Amino acid sequence: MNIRRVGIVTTGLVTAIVLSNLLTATVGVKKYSESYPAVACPPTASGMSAQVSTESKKTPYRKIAGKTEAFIPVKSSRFTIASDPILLDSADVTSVVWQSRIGIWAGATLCTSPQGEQWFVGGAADVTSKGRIFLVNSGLSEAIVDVAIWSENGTQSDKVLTVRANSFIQVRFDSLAAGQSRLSVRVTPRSGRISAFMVDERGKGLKSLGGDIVNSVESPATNFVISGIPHQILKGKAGSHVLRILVPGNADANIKVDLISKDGVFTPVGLDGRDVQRGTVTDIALNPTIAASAFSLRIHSDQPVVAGVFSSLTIFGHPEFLWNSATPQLVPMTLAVNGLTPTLIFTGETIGLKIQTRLIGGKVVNSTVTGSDIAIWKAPSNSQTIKISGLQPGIYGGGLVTSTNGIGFFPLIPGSALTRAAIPNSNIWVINR
Amino acid sequence: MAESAKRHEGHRVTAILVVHDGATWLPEVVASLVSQSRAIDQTLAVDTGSNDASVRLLKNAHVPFISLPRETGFGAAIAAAIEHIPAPKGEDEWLWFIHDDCAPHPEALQALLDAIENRPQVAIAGPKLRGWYDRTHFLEAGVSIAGNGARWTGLEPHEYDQGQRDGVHEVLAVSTAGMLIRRDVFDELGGFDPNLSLFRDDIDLGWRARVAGHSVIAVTDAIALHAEASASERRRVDVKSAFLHRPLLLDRRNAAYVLLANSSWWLLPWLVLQLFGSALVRAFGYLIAKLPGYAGDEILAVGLLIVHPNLLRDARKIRRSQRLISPRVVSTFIPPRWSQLRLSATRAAEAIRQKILPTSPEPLSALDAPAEDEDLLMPALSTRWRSVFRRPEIVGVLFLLVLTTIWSRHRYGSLDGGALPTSPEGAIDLWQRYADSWHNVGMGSSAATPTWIAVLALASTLMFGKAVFLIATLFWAAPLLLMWSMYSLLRTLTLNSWLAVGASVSYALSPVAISSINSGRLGTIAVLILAPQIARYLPRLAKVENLEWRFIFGLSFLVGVLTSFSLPAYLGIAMIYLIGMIYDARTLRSSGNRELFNTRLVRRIVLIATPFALCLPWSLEALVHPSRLLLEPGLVLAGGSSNLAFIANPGGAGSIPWWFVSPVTLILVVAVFSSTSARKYAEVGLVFLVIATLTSVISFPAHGNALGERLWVGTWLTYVTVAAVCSGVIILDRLRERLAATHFHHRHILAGLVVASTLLYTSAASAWVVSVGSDSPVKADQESVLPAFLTLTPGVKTLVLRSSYSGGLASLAFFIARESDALLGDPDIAPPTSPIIDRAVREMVDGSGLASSKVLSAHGIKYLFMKNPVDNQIVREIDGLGGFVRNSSTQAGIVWRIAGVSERLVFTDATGNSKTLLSGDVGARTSTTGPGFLSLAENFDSSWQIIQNGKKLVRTRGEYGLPQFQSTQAGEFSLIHDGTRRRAWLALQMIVFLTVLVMALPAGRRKREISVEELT
Repeated sequence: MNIRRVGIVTTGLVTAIVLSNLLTATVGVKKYSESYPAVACPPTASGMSAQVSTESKKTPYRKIAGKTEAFIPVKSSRFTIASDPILLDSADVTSVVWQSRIGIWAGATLCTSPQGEQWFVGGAADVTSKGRIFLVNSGLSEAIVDVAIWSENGTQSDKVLTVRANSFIQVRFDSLAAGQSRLSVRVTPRSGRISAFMVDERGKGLKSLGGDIVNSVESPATNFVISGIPHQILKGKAGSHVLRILVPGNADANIKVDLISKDGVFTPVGLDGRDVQRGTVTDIALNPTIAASAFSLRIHSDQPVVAGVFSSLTIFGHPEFLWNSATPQLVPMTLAVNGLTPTLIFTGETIGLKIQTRLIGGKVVNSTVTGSDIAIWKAPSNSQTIKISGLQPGIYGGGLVTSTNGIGFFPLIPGSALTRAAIPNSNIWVINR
Repeated sequence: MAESAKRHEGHRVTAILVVHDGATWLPEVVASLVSQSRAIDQTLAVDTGSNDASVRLLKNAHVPFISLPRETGFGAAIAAAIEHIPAPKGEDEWLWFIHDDCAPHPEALQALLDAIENRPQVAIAGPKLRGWYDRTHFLEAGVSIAGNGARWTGLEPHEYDQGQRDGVHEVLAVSTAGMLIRRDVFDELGGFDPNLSLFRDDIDLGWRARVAGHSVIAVTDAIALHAEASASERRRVDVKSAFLHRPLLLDRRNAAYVLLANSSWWLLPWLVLQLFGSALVRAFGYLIAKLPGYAGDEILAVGLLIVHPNLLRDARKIRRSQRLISPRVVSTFIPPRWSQLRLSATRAAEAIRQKILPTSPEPLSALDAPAEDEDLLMPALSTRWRSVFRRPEIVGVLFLLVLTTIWSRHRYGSLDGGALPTSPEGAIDLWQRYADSWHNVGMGSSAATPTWIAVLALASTLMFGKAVFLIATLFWAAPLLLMWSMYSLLRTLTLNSWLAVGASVSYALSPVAISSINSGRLGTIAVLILAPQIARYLPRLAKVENLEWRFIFGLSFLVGVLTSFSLPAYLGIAMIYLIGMIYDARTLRSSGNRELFNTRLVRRIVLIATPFALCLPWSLEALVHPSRLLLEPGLVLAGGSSNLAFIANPGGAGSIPWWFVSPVTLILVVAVFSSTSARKYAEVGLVFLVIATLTSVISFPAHGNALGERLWVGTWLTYVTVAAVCSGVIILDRLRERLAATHFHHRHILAGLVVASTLLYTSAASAWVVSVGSDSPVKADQESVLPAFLTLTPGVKTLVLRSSYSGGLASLAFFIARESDALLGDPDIAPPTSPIIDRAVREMVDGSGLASSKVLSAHGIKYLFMKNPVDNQIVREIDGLGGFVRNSSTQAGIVWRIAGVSERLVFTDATGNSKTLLSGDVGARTSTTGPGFLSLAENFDSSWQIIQNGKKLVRTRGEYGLPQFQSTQAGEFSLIHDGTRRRAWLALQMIVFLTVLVMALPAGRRKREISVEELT
């Protein structure tokens, strides 16, 4: 065998393989665009006031239902929403909206980008109800929305609603499910850029029973946490709580509920393996005997469920209630909280996270939150933004805001998630079978 | 005899022998006349100026004769002879015309007279004519003329006479060779037409006799041998009226004359058309057979008649005066068209059969002469039918037949998917796509349609226009075709059939073959089929100077077909040719033989240039865009990695997994160290393997894909595989004997390794293709991408968005569909999308494109369709933009109607008001209402023209770069895409194609070049 020939052949083949593999790394790079979709903030109902906290005065916004489609700066980092909803280009900062009816009730929610599905657990359509749902179409095309309603009497007839381009509508609960006292609502846009917001306001005659904004969850789940439920003890008497739960699937669910508070973790009586009927909204009374001012619920279910907790409270002497919704696992995020002093409640077996607070003057304060089961952190009074990072896995969080008008809750979830979309390229493949 | 002679009482027979250079046959002819059982009463010969020994022979035979000038025609010679024969008294005189190359059997005259004895209506009788040399060759028994002027005998080519047509038959006419005719009738008809000095005078006479109320019969008991010396060009045609002295010209001219002079007047237009059409077809055939003289004869014959209409007018006048009964009486003797077609088909089939399965002459040996007695006593030998299955070719074919039947179970129907777009319904669609100067693909393209579309169109035409059936059949039969092609190559390398068949089956199941079939790589399949055929002939190019031009053009034609399907294949072969040129240059330097070098150079240049020229103008565009030299037909789908290519697996969708490692690379590496000729194949194979490995990482935009995909290297790997199979067969051929004769060493191990890996791979690949591998991207009757309602409106443009996922990442692609999914050839001619549309779509998807709908509608895009699975985020962004109105949301996807004026042709008047105008797929004819400008939603092209009131409107680029025309006045206008350039290219291509075809086909032989033994 000719050694020279062996050398030539081997060198040629090896060179080809090495060279081709080196070149491979330089090809096939696909390009993507990343962006934070603009978020819609809810409209302000008559007689109410609403403010949205923004990261800066330069944050662009436009009115939905406005004449112009151009974005302009908010000019104030605590921007007042007069009536129409607004579209806010807040990038990766999640803005908190605070709504209140002076001296009667208050509620908090987040400005959110449109989602494929929104589940609301809360509200009533009985004689006390003044609740409504807002459907905001921030797109420039007409939107068609499916609204499905469940109550204590099972599934109600679905509604198909049309929302004109760049506008919003409000639908009162009593027109959706008249007479029903326990509601759960699913909003599914068929088309359009829809963000839904629910306001549960109640009164008895002229007497107000309080109100709140019900925050939504994206989908039913089998394991989730409802964080930051305020537990008020006034004159030795603890406030009442109701766990509202819906099994939207075709099978009954068996649930287990853990109550987590500074006093420890336990399962309330009757909630360790309780059957919940499918298709009907079930209220389960919770009257925990704990000293802690806030607690969380961890729910395990063998079927996907949605749930929320209704809490009766007294704020500065007037009755008020609060809806806590489920929260997904916490991810790094930044909250705009200008004008608010939220208390953040974190739940998890092991809690560890960093909070960077930027104060109105520009000063930055760093904090570290650690603990187990539940940890509570209160923001400085002049906070502009709160940046949460350095998270350990398995932490859930919610925020509570209290004012003289009332109390509000918002889940700690980004209002706008970073979307990564491939840049479209022309390719005739798309019309090949 | 006496009784017969008695019956013939009252008949007097005068034989007139016409002689013209007939010395070759004359002795036998004279002898036959003398030996007639019924003696001829009188014989007179007419010599028309023979230059040979004919006159001397006549004198020696004591045959009385008269001499006439050399240019005297047959009819004139007969007329002159009759003048010398006194009119009979009280007897019917019969004239018996004898050619100097026609020898009647001794009983011929008696049989003729017997036949007419009881048939008083018969005026003309003729014998059965047989060949002069092959005396079983049935030439004719009566003759007629077909509508296209062909001489019609109703016999098959070279029909063997075994009495199958015996009897007395009523016919239109009989040949003048041996024609017996009543003298009074002959005189009554005025003899032969003086305008028919030779050829077809017999048919004319018979036709005139028929319409004059006489009968014409062919008597097969009367036999004559005929050499057909004039028709077969054994002697020069010297008759006066023979223009240029060309027999075929005279024959065709006379045929047309006979038809036009004798047929009913209302048939004349149809006959003229038929004559001219058939002359053109025959001329074309003669051109292909490289017989331009004959082709000219065909055309000239009709032309000669047309320039002399007086001749025809006079002839028809005479015939009208002689006619007693309706000319329709001859219609029963004119062959129906289906008979002509059937005969043509039979001849064509026989020619093909003879080419494919030539009839070998029976070997005759005195040693094994059949002994009839023995045959009767011996039991008949029978072959066990099961022995058929011991033939390797049969086993291989049956194996692949079963395999491909199962493998193709999802591919019975209209195929598409993978790199294969949907096939148009029929061959006409393919031809149209090929000929069109403007293609409605994307925003429109004037790119040259690839030549493979024409090849497919031609093949579809041969399959009764069923393009879909052709594609389905091709994919089904591909493994069998691959095996056949490789087997025919390997038979030149080994005598071991089992080895050749085994290797051929392995080739049919090679990774590149499997991948090509599964992923719809039409080009690679064509290369896989054709490459072994070309490889058969490439070794002969070592002595290119000795090759015939026919071989060179034949090989170029084959490479041209290959090139039409795959430019990389052409590139590979051109590289081999160039290496040959370099070798020639080195030889020139060492030998100094410039003449040899020049001879080789010319031939090699023809070899390189011809395939390229055959694919004009498509191939020319590859010079402008050299990247196309690496591309194959169809959609650009990603091939595999370079590591896959290194093991001869092209990868990509539908390919066999990498762990089915084929032995291709191993064989090449082993063979490159071989001392046999396998080394040369292995060296070529390894070079192509390195090329395939390196090019597999290349990616560039092409074929309607703006991003580009990893290059498919199927063609290079086909060459690699062909080289490996050849090397392997050469190594393994007679290896067993060689190894048995030597001590155990590394060759034993390598041989065992090669055989074992080949067997293992082939078995595993067979199992894979019939199981998992059958679920390929190419499938039958797949659901259309576009929803049905978007395909209903002709020309409607829909922007299709579609997501795909690879490597866990989503990618989004779009394209503009025009009322249908992608069709065959669309990717190859698809234009790149304009940056304006790219931007509009990008901004539409990311939600920032407030003007996207406006841009899209200005391009004539009416709908936006996002195919499922949809990305909800993108849907929300589109919903959030203005100008996109939801139309439907179904399982297929979501359709938006794009707001705005989204028509193809829009007129905007001076006030800015826009109005849509009706237009066809390409052109339009409509009107404007005043000054303004016309916007065409097609890509800008210099061939777009609008002609209004006889003037071309000024063409400019509009806001988005689309064509816009300034109209200064109201009025009707025509929008056209000027296809002159395309037609010119096609004409040039056709000229090249015909030239190469003619040069490649075997040359036809002139009749005088065919031996008389073959003819008669």
